[in-house]
Amino acid sequence: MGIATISLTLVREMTELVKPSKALYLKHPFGLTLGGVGDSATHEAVLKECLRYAAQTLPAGSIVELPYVWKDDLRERQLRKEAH
Amino acid sequence: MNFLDREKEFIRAKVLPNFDWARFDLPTEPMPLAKAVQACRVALVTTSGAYLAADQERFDTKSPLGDDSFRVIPKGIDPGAIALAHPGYDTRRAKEDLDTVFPYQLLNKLATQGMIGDVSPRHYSFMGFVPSPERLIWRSAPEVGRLLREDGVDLVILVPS
Repeated sequence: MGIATISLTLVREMTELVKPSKALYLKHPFGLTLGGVGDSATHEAVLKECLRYAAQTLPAGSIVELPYVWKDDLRERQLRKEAH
Repeated sequence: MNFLDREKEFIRAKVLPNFDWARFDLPTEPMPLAKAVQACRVALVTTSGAYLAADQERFDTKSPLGDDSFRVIPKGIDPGAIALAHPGYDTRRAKEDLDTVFPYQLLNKLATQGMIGDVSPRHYSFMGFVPSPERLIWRSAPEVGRLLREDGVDLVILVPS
């Protein structure tokens, strides 16, 4: 008997390889997974999404895209390895 | 070129010439919650590289093979006691607000609001750069699973960085 888990993910393609049981995909920058520094409203919203989806029955390997939009190009530059 | 290809090339050039991404053929079967979320004990597993600066060894961010060990973080720890070590993101930014990558204080808040049953006495921290994950898969992760079970955890939230 395992333990229920839910994973946040920042890289959809990586998650498609590893196939965790249930994942929530966020287009946030690396190192700002739940949102920007001081953005407590987004942090709390994301964590509550984890709780909400943890309670739902979804097919194995589901990746749910969360509707958060990042404010600048930091993530895109990170994905190009032009920013840290 | 997408991020996975770009990162694979980078790791092959700098670290491991035969590096490739770990992958599984089939997804892990979801384990349904045995009770309502409001009654669950919840733990975090973070890959932010969080560790207790005064009491625990820093994650090895210099080794080309990464670091597949983990650290145990008590749920009530002062955030000032936590340091971050990770080569893949700007830890200075996250250190200003740990909720960005390791939201244990926020989880404590949700527990006081009754959104979850309670918080596990311990959370578990990895450093996300592990290009050779065999020991992680076969040793560290099962050990954390055993500790989570020992803690009576009903739900684990995995938070990457």
